[in-house]
Amino acid sequence: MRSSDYFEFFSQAKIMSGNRAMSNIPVELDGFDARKPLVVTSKEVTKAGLGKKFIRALYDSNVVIGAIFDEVPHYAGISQVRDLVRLFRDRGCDSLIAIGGGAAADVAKCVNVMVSADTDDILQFVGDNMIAGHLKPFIYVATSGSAGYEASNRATIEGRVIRSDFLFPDVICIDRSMVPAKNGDAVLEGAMVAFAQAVEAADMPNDNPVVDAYAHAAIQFICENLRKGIRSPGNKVSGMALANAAAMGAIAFSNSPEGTVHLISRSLARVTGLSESLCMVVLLPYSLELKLSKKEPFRGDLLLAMAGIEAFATTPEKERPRAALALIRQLLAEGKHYPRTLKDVRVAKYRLDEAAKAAAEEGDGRVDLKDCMNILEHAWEGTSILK
Amino acid sequence: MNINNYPEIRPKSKVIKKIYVWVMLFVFGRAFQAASRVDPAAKKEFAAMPADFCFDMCVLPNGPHMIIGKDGKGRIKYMGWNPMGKKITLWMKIKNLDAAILMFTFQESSCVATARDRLIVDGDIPAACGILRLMNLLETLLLPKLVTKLGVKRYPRWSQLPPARKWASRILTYIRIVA
Repeated sequence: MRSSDYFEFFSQAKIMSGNRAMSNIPVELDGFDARKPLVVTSKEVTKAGLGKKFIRALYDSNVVIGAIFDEVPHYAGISQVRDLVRLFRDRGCDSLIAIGGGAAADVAKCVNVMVSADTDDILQFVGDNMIAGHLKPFIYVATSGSAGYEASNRATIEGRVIRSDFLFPDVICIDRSMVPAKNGDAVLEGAMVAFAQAVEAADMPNDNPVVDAYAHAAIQFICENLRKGIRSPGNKVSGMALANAAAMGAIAFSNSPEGTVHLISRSLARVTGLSESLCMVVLLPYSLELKLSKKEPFRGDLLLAMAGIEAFATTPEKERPRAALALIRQLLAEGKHYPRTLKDVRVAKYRLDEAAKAAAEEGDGRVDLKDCMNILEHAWEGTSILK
Repeated sequence: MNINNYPEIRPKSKVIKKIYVWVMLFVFGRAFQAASRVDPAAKKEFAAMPADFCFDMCVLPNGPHMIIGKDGKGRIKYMGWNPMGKKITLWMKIKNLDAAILMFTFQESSCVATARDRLIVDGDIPAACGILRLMNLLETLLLPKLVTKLGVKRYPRWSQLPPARKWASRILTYIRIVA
């Protein structure tokens, strides 16, 4: 294991994972001296019957659910957050629970920031470390539709990112009954976002053994369970493994600077209106190819996490990054209907330039405009960067 | 947004599960008392407990409870299900009713439940370990081998619990539970 002169790691989240994990929520809330949570979720979750499962898990407890708001759309909007703040205050709630991924978790985090700071202006917190103190207890209940950032230290509201260590959920609850997915593509997207987060976190130049531990565990879980998860999305064992991987990937990602794939995906999503997760899945192999082509190969021990000790030991050291890349391509090929290129999702080629410029600007020297353009053009065509 | 569309929800109660756990705790409470009189291993284990020993096994947040303790003469006694007015020296709190069901339907052994953090122990740890050993012994005495194997970490060998002692303790414990 590579050692480091200095590293930092922070995660305040307690992970409760397994059979009947949700039944422990009342005890956890009691530990925070909270009794009345506001539950934020989406229509997909309630339609799938997960809302009822959640309520049933709270039977025989002293918890009173302030309200279940299940109308969060696919993006987090300011007006909705304001409405929820009003609901939170009117009902006298003291904590928040988000069920399901993506916008529901973002909305819950933003509501938490506003009610804790007692303000009506969420935009003052946009940026890094703008939140001054501890927030109200926040529990995230994982479902299959993960966007990758629920368990992280960031929230996105109307395209703006709030990043603070206070935004980590206090409890991440991964219950067996909540993780089965509807279709294989949803499984692939959620898993590959976590995979991209873990790979980028593990490949950062500052060696952080704790980040490596989280990232490698996430990669291993994904590689061992993704195929089964795609073929039978209702499988609870693979669903649990992938949900755990998503949580670990997000925590590893929160403790390392954003990599190339994240920066480009965010700007591309903003420019085109596509989901950031989809952009990440498409761009990840091209970003790794670029590293290989520039002879700055990414870490070979990625292969160890992906394929196990035997494959790692029998592959010559110089060939390990290429072997890992080939495995990533194989994993992506599992999603038979999932788009492989930006052309497949009808991104206009002239918009790539705008996205590359925005990413280079946001990267603040970490990524080069030429590299961004190179990745985006190859991802659009679907051609390999390697000669 | 009309906030009346999102009403407050008070979760209900799982009545059947609660009754099942209550019955199991009642039987176990009576069995603790009975085994302390008839089984030599249980006698020895209880003899090591302090004179003011009073143990409450309960399901959070509102019960049911099982209270056993030593009376004035140092004998183990089942003290019912109401902890009010009793000086409890050892609490073993099962975090929720679902966890209690997993334990008392033997889907999870007491050791696995402890390892999975389904219990909170408040009090003397050696006494709590003694109680877990006694619970394993009671399961061995009260239940058929097939079921007991699910609930205990290791089923006792003949050398640890000879059949003559097992059957004698089993019959006497059952008689004392019912009587």
